Order: sequence, then C-alpha cells, then structure tokens
Amino acid sequence: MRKSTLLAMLAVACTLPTLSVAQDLPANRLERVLANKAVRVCIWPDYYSITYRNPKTQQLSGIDIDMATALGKDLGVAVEFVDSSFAKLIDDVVQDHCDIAMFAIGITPLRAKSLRFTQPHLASDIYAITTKTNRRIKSWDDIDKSGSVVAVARGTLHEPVMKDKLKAAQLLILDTPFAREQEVQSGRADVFMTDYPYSQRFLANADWARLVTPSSTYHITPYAYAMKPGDDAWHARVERFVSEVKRDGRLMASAKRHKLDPIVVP
Amino acid sequence: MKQRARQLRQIFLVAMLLFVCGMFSITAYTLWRLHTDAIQSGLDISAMHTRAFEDFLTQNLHVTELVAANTLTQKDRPLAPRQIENNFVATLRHAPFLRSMSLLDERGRIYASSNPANVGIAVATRSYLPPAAATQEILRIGQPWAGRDFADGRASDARTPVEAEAQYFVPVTRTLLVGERAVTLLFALNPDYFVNHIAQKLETGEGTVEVLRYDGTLLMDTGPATSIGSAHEFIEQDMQLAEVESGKFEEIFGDGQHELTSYRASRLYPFVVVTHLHRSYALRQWQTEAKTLLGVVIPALLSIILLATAFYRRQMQIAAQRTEAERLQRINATVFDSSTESIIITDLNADIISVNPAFTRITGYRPEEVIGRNPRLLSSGKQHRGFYKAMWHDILQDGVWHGELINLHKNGSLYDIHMSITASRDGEGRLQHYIGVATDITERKRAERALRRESEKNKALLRNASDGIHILDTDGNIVEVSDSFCAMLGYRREEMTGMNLAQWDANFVGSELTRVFKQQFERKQRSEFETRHRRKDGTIFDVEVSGFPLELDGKQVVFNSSRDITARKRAEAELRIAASAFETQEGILITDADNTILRVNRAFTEISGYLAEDVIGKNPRILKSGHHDANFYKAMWSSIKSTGAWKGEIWNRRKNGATYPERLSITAVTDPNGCVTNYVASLADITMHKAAEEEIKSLAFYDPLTQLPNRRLLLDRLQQALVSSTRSGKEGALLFIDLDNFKTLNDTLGHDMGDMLLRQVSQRLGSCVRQGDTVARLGGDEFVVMLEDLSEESIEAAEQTETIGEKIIASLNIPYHLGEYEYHSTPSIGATLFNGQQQTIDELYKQADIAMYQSKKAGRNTLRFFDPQMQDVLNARTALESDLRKALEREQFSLYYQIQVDSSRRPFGAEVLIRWTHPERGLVSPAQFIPLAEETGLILQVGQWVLDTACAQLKLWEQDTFTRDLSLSVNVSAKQLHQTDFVAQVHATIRHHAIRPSLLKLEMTESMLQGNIEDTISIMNALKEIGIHFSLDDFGTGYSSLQYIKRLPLEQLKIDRSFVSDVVADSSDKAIVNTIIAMAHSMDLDVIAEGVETEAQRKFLLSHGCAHFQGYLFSKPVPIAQFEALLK
Repeated sequence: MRKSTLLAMLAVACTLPTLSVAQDLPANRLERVLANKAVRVCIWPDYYSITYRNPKTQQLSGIDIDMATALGKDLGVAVEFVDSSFAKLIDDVVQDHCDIAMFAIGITPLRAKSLRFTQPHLASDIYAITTKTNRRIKSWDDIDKSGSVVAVARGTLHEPVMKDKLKAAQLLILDTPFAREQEVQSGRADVFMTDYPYSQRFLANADWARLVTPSSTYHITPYAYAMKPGDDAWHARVERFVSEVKRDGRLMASAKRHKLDPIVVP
Repeated sequence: MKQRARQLRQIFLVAMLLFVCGMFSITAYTLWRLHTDAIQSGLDISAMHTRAFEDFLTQNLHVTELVAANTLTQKDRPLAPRQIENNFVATLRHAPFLRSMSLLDERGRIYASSNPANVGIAVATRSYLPPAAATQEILRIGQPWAGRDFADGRASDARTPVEAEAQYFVPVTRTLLVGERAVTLLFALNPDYFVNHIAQKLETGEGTVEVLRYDGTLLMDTGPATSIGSAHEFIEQDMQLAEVESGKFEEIFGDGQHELTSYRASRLYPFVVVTHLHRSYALRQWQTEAKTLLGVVIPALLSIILLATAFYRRQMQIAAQRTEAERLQRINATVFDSSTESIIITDLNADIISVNPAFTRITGYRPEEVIGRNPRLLSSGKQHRGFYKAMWHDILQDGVWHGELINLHKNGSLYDIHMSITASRDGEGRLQHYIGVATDITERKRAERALRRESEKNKALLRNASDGIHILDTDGNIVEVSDSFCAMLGYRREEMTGMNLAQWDANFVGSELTRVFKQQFERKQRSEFETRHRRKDGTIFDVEVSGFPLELDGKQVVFNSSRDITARKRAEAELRIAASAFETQEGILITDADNTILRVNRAFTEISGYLAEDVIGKNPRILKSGHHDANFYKAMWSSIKSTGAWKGEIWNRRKNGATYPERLSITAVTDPNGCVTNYVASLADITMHKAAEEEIKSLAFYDPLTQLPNRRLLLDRLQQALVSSTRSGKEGALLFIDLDNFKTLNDTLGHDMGDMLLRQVSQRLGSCVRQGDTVARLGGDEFVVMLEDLSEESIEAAEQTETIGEKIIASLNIPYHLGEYEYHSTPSIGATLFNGQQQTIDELYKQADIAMYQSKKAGRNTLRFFDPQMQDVLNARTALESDLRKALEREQFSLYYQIQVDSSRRPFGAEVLIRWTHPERGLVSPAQFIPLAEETGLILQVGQWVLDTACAQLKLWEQDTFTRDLSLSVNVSAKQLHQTDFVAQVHATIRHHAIRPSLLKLEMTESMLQGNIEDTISIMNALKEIGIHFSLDDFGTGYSSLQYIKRLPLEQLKIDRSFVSDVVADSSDKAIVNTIIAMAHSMDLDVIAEGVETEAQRKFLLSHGCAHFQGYLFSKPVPIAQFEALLK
C-alpha cells in the first residue's frame, strides 16, 4: 500500500518534467515501455542456459529469460521476446526491433561502438568443443595447428577473437543454426568455439562431444545487456535493475538454477 | 588305550581330509562352471555388439543410398550441378556420418561436390568392392583415404595404410541410374561417427571393433594403434563368409591376449564387423565372484577345521578324564566294598541307592533288602524326638553331620554307631545324594556305659549322702569336698577349693576352733561334735560333725562329715513349745479314735471341775448338759467327719452339776494314711462372754430407758410381721402413740420426771397388748405398738385395733405418780392397718404418722385411722404431671391468640396463650397446669414448644402482606429465661424459622426480676441484640425497683388487667394507670393495656395516652383459624 503510494508519487514527480520535455522531444524508451505496458527483449534462442528455446517444447529458459521476466515485473509491464542472434544483434537493437537485448552479450569493442551496455552480470572465457574420437585435438594447444579447422558462429564475440588469435588453423565462420556442431560432428571441422554457458549445457546433451579448456586464461569477456545508446533514463533504469538483481540475490538464485554461478559477476 | 586314541586320531584326520577335499572339489567345480559361463556369455555379448554395430553401419549406409537418390533429380528432372551441390550441403546437415558428397563424371572426376575444393579431383574407383556392374545400382566401398576430404586426401593401400593419428575417411560410391544414364555418387564416409557410436557402446577396456571390407581391408578400428587400410588376410580362412554370415570364437592374438571374437557380415554391403571382446574383461565378473566365493569358502573351511580340531581335542580330553574318573571310581568301589565302615548312599529323597558289605555286616540287612528304602528302617526309636530334626538341620545347613546313634539290627538287637552324614552336591551346588558312613561302636559304647554306670553309682552314693563330706589338711584348708557339702554351704565347688574351716564354722572362734580341730587329729579316732556352719549367704545352721584323721598321699588329713541337724533341733524346740502350749488357758481334751479320753490339761480341770484321773479312760459324753438334742451332736460329728473339725458353742455340765456355755473346737488328728488316731478338743468357758454379749444386744435393740424395743428392733419385727402376714393372710396394725403436751412436762418438771413418765407409760403399754405384740419406743414421747395376727377381714381387724387402741387410751389416761407429783397425760394415736407386703415399711410409718397428726388435729387424746383419700390428692397430682409430660408428646397443647389493637382498632399483633386439651379432662386451665409445669421443670419444654409454634405462625404470616407485620407476644417464665442456653435456643428457633426477630415479643413478669437481676439483664440484652423485643407484663403488681426496670431493654409496658378493670371507677387505679402511662412515655416505651372489656375503659386509656389494647372488648383468646377470620 505504502509502496504503491510512494510509486504513484514518484511517478507524478517523474512525469511532470518528463511530460513537459515530451512535448518537445520524442518520448524516451522507459516512458514508451511503461506506456505500452510491454518491454521487448531481444534474445538468441540457441543460447544454452542463457536464452534457449527448447525445440521440442518451444519453452524458453535460461538466466536471461529469468532476468527479462524480472525486469518486466519490476517495471510492471509484459515481456515480449524477440528472436535475434549475435549476427543480427546490433541491427535489431539499433533499428528498435527491441528495447533491450538480454542474452549475455559479450562486451566487445565493436559492439561497444554501436550499443550501450549495462554493467556486466556474467563473465566467461572461451572454450572449445571437439568429438570424443578426435585424436588430433587432445589439448587446447593442439587447436591452432596447420590442418585444423576451427568453427565459430558468425557475429559472436568468438569470430573477431579467433580471427585475431588463430595463426595456423583454418577458421570456419558459420551462420546457420547448429552449423558449428554439425561441422565438428561430421569431421569437417575439428573444434568449435563457445563460451562457458553454452559449453556446459551442450556437453550435458551431446554424448559425442568433448570439452577442451584453455590451459590458462584465454580471453575473458564480460557479458551484459545492450541497449540503443543515447537514452539515459532507460539505461539508468536498466542499470538500476541489474544492480538490484545482483544485490537482492535474484541473479545469483537464477544463476544457481542454471549452473552458471561460477561466472556471475558480483 | 593309547591305541584307541591313535585310531581315533586317524579317523579324525581322514574325515577332515575327505571333507576338505570335497569342499575344494565343489568350489573348483563351481568356479570352473562360472568361468565357462562367463566365457560363453562374453562370446554372446561380443556377438550382440557385432550385430548391433553391423546393423548401425548397414542402416547408415542404406540411408546414404536413399539420400543420394534424391539429390540428383527433382521430379525426375536432372538438376544443374549448382543445385545438386546445394542439395548435397542440405543433406549433409542431417548426415553427420558423411563428410562430403560428390558427383563423378564419366572419367572419374569430381564435377560437383558439397565441398567445392573437391571439384576436379580424379578418384580411381576401379578397385572398389564389389566390382562395378554397369547396369546395376550398387554401393561400392573403396580403400580408405587419409585426410579430411578428397581435396586434401590421398588414397591408402595395403602397403601404405593411413597413419595412426591421422584423419581419414572411407570413400563409397553409389551408382544411380538417371534416366538411361548411370551416374556415380561419391561419398566421403566419416568413420569418426561410427567409431564414436561404438565407443559409446563399448567401453575402452572392454574390447575393440573392426570393420573390414570383404577383401580384408581394414576400414575402421576402435583400437588404439591401428593402420587403417591395411589388409587382414586371414579373414577368408577364418570366416567362411561365403557359407556363414556370422560366428564367434575365442582366439589368441600375437601378444598373448585372449579375445572373444565375433563377426558378422553386413546383410547388404561387402564389409564385416568384427568385435574382439577382451577375455579378461568378460571374466571380470567371474573374477570378482571367484574372489568372493574363495573369500567365503576358505575362511569357512578354516573355521570348520579349527572347530573340528578343537572338538576333537576336547573329546580326547574328555576321554582322558573319563578314563581317569573310571580309575578313581574303581578305587572308590574297592574302598567302598572293602571298608570296615558301613557306607550308605541315598538319593535326594533319602532312599537308599547303595550300601557296602560292611553295612550288611553291621546291620544284618543285605543290599537288596534296603535299596529303595529309607534308612529309617534302622531306627531304634531310642533317639529323643528332636534328634533327627536337629540332624537334618545340620545336614542341610552345614552339609555334614557327625554323631552317635543307636540303631536296630535286623535281628532286633540294638547297636551303637558313630555316623557321619554328608550331603553330596554336584558341580553347580545342587543336592544329589546323602552319604552316610557309620562305624560300629557298640563295644566301645558298652564299655563306656559300664564305666559310666560305675561312676554314676559312686556319684550317686556321694550325691545321695546328704552329709557334707570335706577333707581338710592340718591347717583346716580344704583338700577335697563333696557336692553335698558345697550344696550345704551354698558354694560352688570351685569356690570351695582352698577355703579354710574358719570361713564356714560359725560356732567356735579363734583359738577355740583351733583347739577343737587339733583334737580331731590328736584323738586318732572317730570324733563327733555339734557346731554351726555359716552358708555363703550368711545364714547359720546347726550341724553335727563326725570325723576321723587319716593319711592321704602321705599327708595328714581329717575326713569330716557334716550333717545338717537344723530339722532335728527345730523338732526338739517344737516339742518343748508344744509341751508348754498344752498347758494354756484353754481346756484341752484328747481322746483316741474310739473317743476314750487319753489326756486333759490343767485348764480343763479348772473349767469342768473334773480332775484328769476323773475323766481319763472315759467318754467325753459325761460332760453333756442335756441342752442340745441329738441332731446337734449328729451335725457336729458329721462336720468332724467331713472336714476334720468342728467349731461352735455348746452347753456342758460341770462336775458340780451346773451348766455353762463353752466355745468348743474339735480337731481330728489323722495318721499319714488318713485314719483318725485322736480327737483334740479345745474348749473355753464363755459364761462371762455370753453375759457381755447379752448386754450388747440389749443396747443395740432396746431402749435403755424403758427396756422396750427400739426403732431398730421394731423395724426388724415389722419386717417379720409383714412376712408372716403375707403368709397367714391376717391383718396387722401399726399404732403411733404420741403423748400430748409431753414437751411441757419436760420443760416444767425436768427430764427426770419425763423419763419417769416414759417408763410408766411403757409399762402400761406392755400391759395393754397381747402376748406377741410389740411395744416399742422410737424416741422422745413417741411409742409404737405393733399388733399381729388380727382378723383377715379389714373391718374386723380395724375393730380389733380400735379396741386395743381404746384400751391404751384408757390405760394412759390413768394419772401417773411421778415422785410426789400426780400427773395426767393423754395420748394421740394414729393407726394404720397392714396386710401382706402391699405397703412398704416407710409408707406404713408415713400413714401411721399422718393418722396420728389427724388425731392431734381432731383434738388429741383420741385414735384416728389413716385416711386413703388424702393419698388420692397426692396421686391426682402425680397423674397430672405424667399427663403433662405426655401432652407434649401427643401434641395436646394448642395456642390461642388474643388480638392486640391500636387506637383505631387496627390489629397489630396478638398475645399467644397456651391451652391444653386433655383427652379425658377436656380443656385444662393454664392456672392448673402451669404451676405444676414450673414445679416439675416441664415448663422449659412447654415454653420452647410455645416459642416454636409462635415462630412458625409468624413465618406463615410472612407470606401475606396483610399479616406480614403482625407481632406475637410470648410469655416467658423465670425458669425458662434462666436456663443456661435460653439465648441460643431462641436464636436457633428464629434462625430455624427464618423470621424477623423484631416481630417476636417476649413477655416478662415483674416477679422474674427478683433474684439475680444482673443475670436477667444480660440475658435480655443478648436477646435484644438478636432483635427480640420485650414487654413487661403485669406491670404495677410487683415491687420492682424502678431503677432496675430502667436498665431493662424493654420496648413495652403492659398495664395489668387488675388496674384496667376498675380504671373507670376506682380513682387510685386511675392514678396508677396514669402514672404507668406517664412513666412509659418518659422511658420512651410503648404501653399496652390488657383486660380491656368495655368501651369506657378503652376511651379512658386512650384519652390518657395508652394507644394499644388487648381484651374481651376486641376478642377473647381464640384458635388461629378464628383469629385469622377476625383479622378479615
């Protein structure tokens, strides 16, 4: 009761200057979201443990599905999920296909140019997946050898990183769904690169796959949510949300549920 | 023995060996069976794997064939190479077992491929199996290629197989007929996919799988170091593939590894899947089982062996013990049989189980005669009653008993044994047997008894010698002493040891004793003398000592024997006393049994006058006085005969002929047999005594002045007269005679004259009555004449009495000569008749007394008979009292209520008045019964009844508003008020009825204030505290102090009816009433007038300030019903 009253007062206090500004400028995204009573969230539905749509049930699950739902709840609006991918990420956000991208987006310099990130909530190194029968790739160091084929998904942070890092091995950049897995399983590629969340969930399901972990820290990338730049109110609101879920334990609880607690950024 | 043990050991060892061997055989057989089963099951598993892998591979290849068919055409129209390539890429997306798909041209070059790099590469397919057939759509398998794809690969052959770690693929062609044209599709088969699949099914250590082309070329291998593409030439000879498609067998590889191999040829394609299951793996389960089995069997076996060995050793030990026990038993048996002591063994019930030959010898019983019987049969019955009980007590308590017994021999003779009985217990302490061991001690006993008899005889001699024997040395110290001497002096034997003669001799002192003692030695012969001994307790007795000196053990001693002569001395003394006693004041006469006088003493002579020689030899009857009849003597002799004595008074005759009374006591003297030997008569002259006795008697029963019977004797005679009257039925009469004016005589002429008169009167009275009548003097001038044997008829008897009475009056009227005076006296006589015991003596006295007073009343000098009507008055009173008591019980009382009104004639209460309705007498006036009730104390109960009834009435009234405030006045008597618990009683009554106490008014009379006024006030105050009101009744009639009345807690004064009745006419009454009213007002008291009968009275009273009235003017006292009617 008191809370709602407070909220109402806050709303009025906030609305007054905003309204006067709104008459001059286009309404900011926060107001739009509140007005539409819906927040559109971009996700990559192939992203195990983050934003994964089970093809058998079409159910969404993952830590950022939980966080998006929490955000909607905090804002008091519905959540609309918009399918996206790392390849389409910047376009989808910038062209306003969604209000926010929430699928553990690695903060890369390239992305940072076009997008505005919240503080990171996860941070992951890079991992390789190969087949159990692959006799050539025994350790991380076996990857960057002549004759090796390394698969990455287009648009993922791995694409620029591996491009930069690989010296001898051939880099195979794929952009069809599950193409990386198919290439590795059929032997056309030796390994594909992925992150901690994906690898964990993938290994649990594919009995033919084997994880190759870097012998030392390879390339840790912080993950965060991305928005179109230039909307401070919206960014501030989301930033506050991230701080809150970290503080009140909702993030950690969800991470534990999806076995991601080792990579949560406190 | 030893041989037997050895034999036993051999049997044991053999049995153990057999058992162990058997166990081992069973275990080994089991393990072998399990092993065989494991191998067999390994082969089966191997075959199962082979079939599964073959199936998987065949199916995938078959899928490949099907997929291939759709890539080249669309709706039967050939596609352009570009489209085909797209189809290839799409297909590969779902076929991870294919690395690439390509299309060959006629020259064997790739002209379209999923991998653009492959295009242009020539692939030689000639050696692919099966061989090509131009018109058939077949799948052919080529030599494996090293590398990822055709673009970077090279074909291997048997000589140059693919390197172990290198990537490779298997080329497969499929001929397709597109229209008329045959085209060849080339697949790069991804072996990793299959190896992966197999690796998932078959664990690394489990075994390896090989896929071979029919020609023995190794296509795939899950083994670690393999050379893909190399040739396995043995394949054809090992597997007759032409005949059988599958098989299994065990083989040994070159490295000695045993493998369970199975193979299966593809049902569609020319390859064989071979599975080598490591035998060690297959036997892994068996090994575990074998270990477990051995782990159980071996310790079990060892335990059994150990146990058996222990058991065996124990058995051997037991056997050794048994042997030892048997040896001991034999020894025991020998002892048992040869023992000279009789041995009896019984069971728990003491029944004989076993006896030895010595038993038979001693008891005469053969074993078969006693076994199963109780040893009791040996009992002689000579043991005392508690003997066996004590024996069993010892046996059960201590486990053993020793003792001597006299038993009965079979032949009936007695024999002595010394017996020990032991309770034998088993290892756990349970009683098992009794074992008796007996030694015949008959001979010893006999000797002992003989000795004892001798000794006892001697002892008896010494003991029975009452004389105290003591042997003294020359100093007089005791050397030896007999028990009798100890007993005589009261010392214990040990106390006497070392005592000296001087310690017990009480006759001689110092040197005298020494002299006498010395003489005993010097005389050298028997000496006798009397002396006295002193006992331990200090008493002294006479003894006669006889002794003689002798030599004992070389020492001079004297053998003395002391005899207690106390009895003799006493007898001598008694004799002397008896002799002197015979000569006493009492006469003594002794006769023999025939009553012949033997002896008389001097006193006898003095009493009877007869000398001894006059009477000795005569019968005592010469003394008879003749005063006593024969019965007297008969009774005397009867007493002597029955009790041995007679005592009494008897009249005898002296020698001079005079009779005299004597007190005689005769005692029969009997000999020890009870026969009378003598009679001893002791007699005393009691002539003087008799005279004295008469004197005393006359004093007790006679008036000393007149010698007439006194009151006491009269009483006695009257009692006798009443008794005889009862018996005879004849009337008697009692006359009380009182001399008129006797007191005046005494006062004027003095007591001497009075006494003289009394003496003369008594003489005259005596002359007036008949023989047998009694004249008595009670004292003073009161005489009584008792007449007996009058007529049986009362009237006649009265007439007889009257006659005598008149005779007495006449006689006593004759003038008396008192010294020089002539005196005239008259009597007043009261008479009463008596018959039998109807009246008590007291009543008779009283009646006579009353009659006498009547006579006095009637003018003296006359005779009056007792009038029964006087009695009636008394009786009526008693009857009334008894009725009064009953009246309470029978509820004959009732209350009447007299209304009390105020100035306007409004009723405010009533006075309750008690009425008694007697069942016979009708209404009894309170004036008649209240004084009686007061006198008898019944007033308390009656008063309580009134109070209770009044309270009950108040309670009833409480329910009606009309009567609720009516008060009741209840009269209280002084006795009632002063009873100890009056306050409590009233309180209890009020509480019981739960009434308002203020409605109860207790009416007191002035008379009650006399006596303890303080007490009355305190009682009234206590009642006032409860809330009770008081009214002073009859005010003005008494003389109460106004001072006191002021202190009484009164509410009301009641003007007495006596003032009210005349208040109108009598001026003094007016004044009194006025005063009372004024006083009441001044004391702030209510005032009520009772007995108001006229309107005039009421008006007067009202006008003078009395506002409350009670009287016939308003209503007389009426029963409650009428009273309540009055209220309405």
